[in-house]
Amino acid sequence: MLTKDQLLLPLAAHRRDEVVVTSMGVTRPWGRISDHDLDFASADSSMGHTADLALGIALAQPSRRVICLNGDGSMLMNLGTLVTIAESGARNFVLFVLENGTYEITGNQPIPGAGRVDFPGLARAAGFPRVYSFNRDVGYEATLPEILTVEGPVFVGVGLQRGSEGPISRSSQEESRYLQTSLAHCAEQFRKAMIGS
Amino acid sequence: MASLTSPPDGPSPDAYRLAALLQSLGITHLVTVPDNTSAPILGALKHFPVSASGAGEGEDAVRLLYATREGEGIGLASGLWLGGAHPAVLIQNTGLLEAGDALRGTASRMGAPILLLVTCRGYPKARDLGIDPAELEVDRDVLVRSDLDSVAHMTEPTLRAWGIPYVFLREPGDLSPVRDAFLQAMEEKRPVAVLLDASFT
Repeated sequence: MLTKDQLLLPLAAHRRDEVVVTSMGVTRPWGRISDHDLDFASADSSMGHTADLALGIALAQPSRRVICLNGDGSMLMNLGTLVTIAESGARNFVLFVLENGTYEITGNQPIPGAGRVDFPGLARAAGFPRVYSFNRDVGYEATLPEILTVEGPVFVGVGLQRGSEGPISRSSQEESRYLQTSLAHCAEQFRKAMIGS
Repeated sequence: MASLTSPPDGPSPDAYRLAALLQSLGITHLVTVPDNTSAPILGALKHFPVSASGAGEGEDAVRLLYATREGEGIGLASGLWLGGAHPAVLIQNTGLLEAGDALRGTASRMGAPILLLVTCRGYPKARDLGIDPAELEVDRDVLVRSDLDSVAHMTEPTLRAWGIPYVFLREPGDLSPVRDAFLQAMEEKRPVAVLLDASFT
């Protein structure tokens, strides 16, 4: 299993002008190491809709790569989105599913099928042309340049150690800029960064 | 902009005019889970410069995107808006109920001006019985009646509870509610629904 640092630090190092959409347990950790105008936190939002939201950004901006950091519990809530992503043929879309086996920010309750569900297998069955899987640190960083450039849709399953992030708020109490204002304000700012108006 | 006249042997004139209006409003993507009522509208869009796969062929094409469920469609549309596009959503009122938390947590929470076109299952059935769906209190008696379709009676109270403004389109020849709803969504920065209580066949 990777730690969040082992997952996120190499990604931040290799990231250039890609959009990064975060959710749940990696929202704060990503915000601690990245302060990019094209970071968007799908937080204080809907259960299970990070992947479809991120796909929408990718389809609206086909020339820009979009990386979605989704949780395994969130993915289970909308498994059909794997089919929609594959069907869309979004070549600029990279979906990470971070498998820690729990609903971390609501108290680490186990998700259904924890440890048994084969997410990379589900992605292949849904029609993803590129599927990667990492359960250890080995090979992950070396493969990142390929993941960030290969024609998608790309699926990346990552076995992740359990964490202890609590519920996410949107307030000045939060450390990360992308969590300090309302979802509506962040959405307006993100949209301006995307299209310049 | 496309002609407002349906081509010979093409889709129904009303469906064609609605498709043309969506294009003229600058809608870039139509996200849908289709039903019988929406099928003619989706069929009409295929007469515009857009392919069935959703890959637009023209600068002003309205691209079709099919979602696996309605809440997913709302999230997808919200992401399209975040990315700078101007999406609309076409779903049935049953699917609207399915999409509650998606609407709450994405489009409404973000203030995304998304036009929601909602077909109205159950309304004709109520009308045949001389009942206005909005006037029946939703209680156990209404919910279990086999001669009514409960979704017709839950649609408007639900939209009100969710804080989503709505208008009816009851005459397919008068598309002004669609234009008005679109303008309201843009001005107020929120999703606005049009209840399509009409046939476009």
